[in-house]
Amino acid sequence: MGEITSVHFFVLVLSGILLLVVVLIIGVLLYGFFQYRKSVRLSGWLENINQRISEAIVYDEQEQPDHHAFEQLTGNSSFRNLFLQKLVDSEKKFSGMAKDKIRDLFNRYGLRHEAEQKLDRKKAFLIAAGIQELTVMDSRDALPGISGFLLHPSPQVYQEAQYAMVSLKGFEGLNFLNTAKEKISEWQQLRLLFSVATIPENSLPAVRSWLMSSNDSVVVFTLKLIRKFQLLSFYPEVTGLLVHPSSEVRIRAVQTLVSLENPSTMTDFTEVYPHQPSEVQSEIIRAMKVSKDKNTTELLKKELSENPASGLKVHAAEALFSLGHHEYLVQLMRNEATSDELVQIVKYALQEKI
Amino acid sequence: MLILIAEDDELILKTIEHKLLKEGHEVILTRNGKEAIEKLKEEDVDLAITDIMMPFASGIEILSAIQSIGKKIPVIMLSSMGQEEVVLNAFDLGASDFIVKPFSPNELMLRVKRFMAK
Repeated sequence: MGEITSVHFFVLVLSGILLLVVVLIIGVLLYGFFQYRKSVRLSGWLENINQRISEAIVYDEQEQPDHHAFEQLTGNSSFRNLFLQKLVDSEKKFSGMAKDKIRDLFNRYGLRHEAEQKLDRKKAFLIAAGIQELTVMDSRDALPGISGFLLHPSPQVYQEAQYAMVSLKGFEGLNFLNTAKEKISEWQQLRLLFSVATIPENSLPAVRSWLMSSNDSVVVFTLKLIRKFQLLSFYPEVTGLLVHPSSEVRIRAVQTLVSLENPSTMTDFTEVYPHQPSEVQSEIIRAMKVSKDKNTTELLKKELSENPASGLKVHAAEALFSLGHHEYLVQLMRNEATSDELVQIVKYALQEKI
Repeated sequence: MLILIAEDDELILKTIEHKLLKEGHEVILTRNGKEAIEKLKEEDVDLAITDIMMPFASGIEILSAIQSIGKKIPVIMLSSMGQEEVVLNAFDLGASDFIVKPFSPNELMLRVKRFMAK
């Protein structure tokens, strides 16, 4: 009796396991089938979208074939989101009139709605994507909504909002610099700088106030702006930044002053040089090397002989060479009183030049 | 004129195709460098428009292949920003012209017309 029960139990367990395996296999097959259907549908959609965009770029409205099937697909929200994503990608691939045609499609199919919906989402990357889509599609009407994200806690969101403001409004969009508390990254500065095409005449007070910002990255960005647009009238203000508490700002001020090409620049550098930290002094000596101003010779000779920092001595030796003091450097190397370290530094600095 | 397009970006490929068909040209579409080289050997192509970076064989390899099969086919290269060195190398290998992406399809057509006029 006991044996029959255990065999019965064994058969039951085996049947249960088999059933489970069969269910799992069916589950996997169904999942694979639905994934396959999804990928086929996606690839069909992509083909349709590419066709629609390329036709819109190439043909005039009256030359275009019937888009009935495409129009039907645009009622599907997943399709609309994919279409929007492809339009944003496409905009980066073309220039000229093609860009306008892509934006026309965005407006024609009302995809602004999809982009704006993302602004109401909680996830930062979705909000940033929505801002990016509206920016790329040149939706100036969306600016009031985007400006609210300038103070968003996520860097991804507020950086995208900053870029949108400048991209869509030009110089005027830089007004967020008045209140910017967070550091503006180097990459973000480059994006913003690239987006500002012109500076209006009445912009000088704003630029002046940014130079006095308590946010060092705002000051650095403003210096880049002065450099890009050659705002020569800011020469005195930039010179004033050579005593700024931040070395980074001082270094950028040196670079900006060099690019503004004022006859008194090297004299100004010579005056402030002794009071600078070593990293700023290095930058000044590099600037002297580029300027080839003979008035800097004495300072360079002094630094080569007396400054304890080897790196700075190398820069000084290179600057002297570029100023044409080849003979002086050779004499210095041959002089028995010259320390071995200095001889090595001069040799190192000039190894490829002499 | 029979024009071969070698481009792995489907949208760019389709756009150039439509543009050339609209202008009355015949086109051969290829989506990788290897396929492009095979077509160039088989067909009497009048002009090739090729991307530089492509799967299996690059635009540079296509230029080398054209040289090795001894055909004189003008080639317009599509390059991205920052590929200056590659473009210079392409000119050494016989590229006739290049256009930088993002590009204007209208400008590309002007370049094609210039080759038709020659």
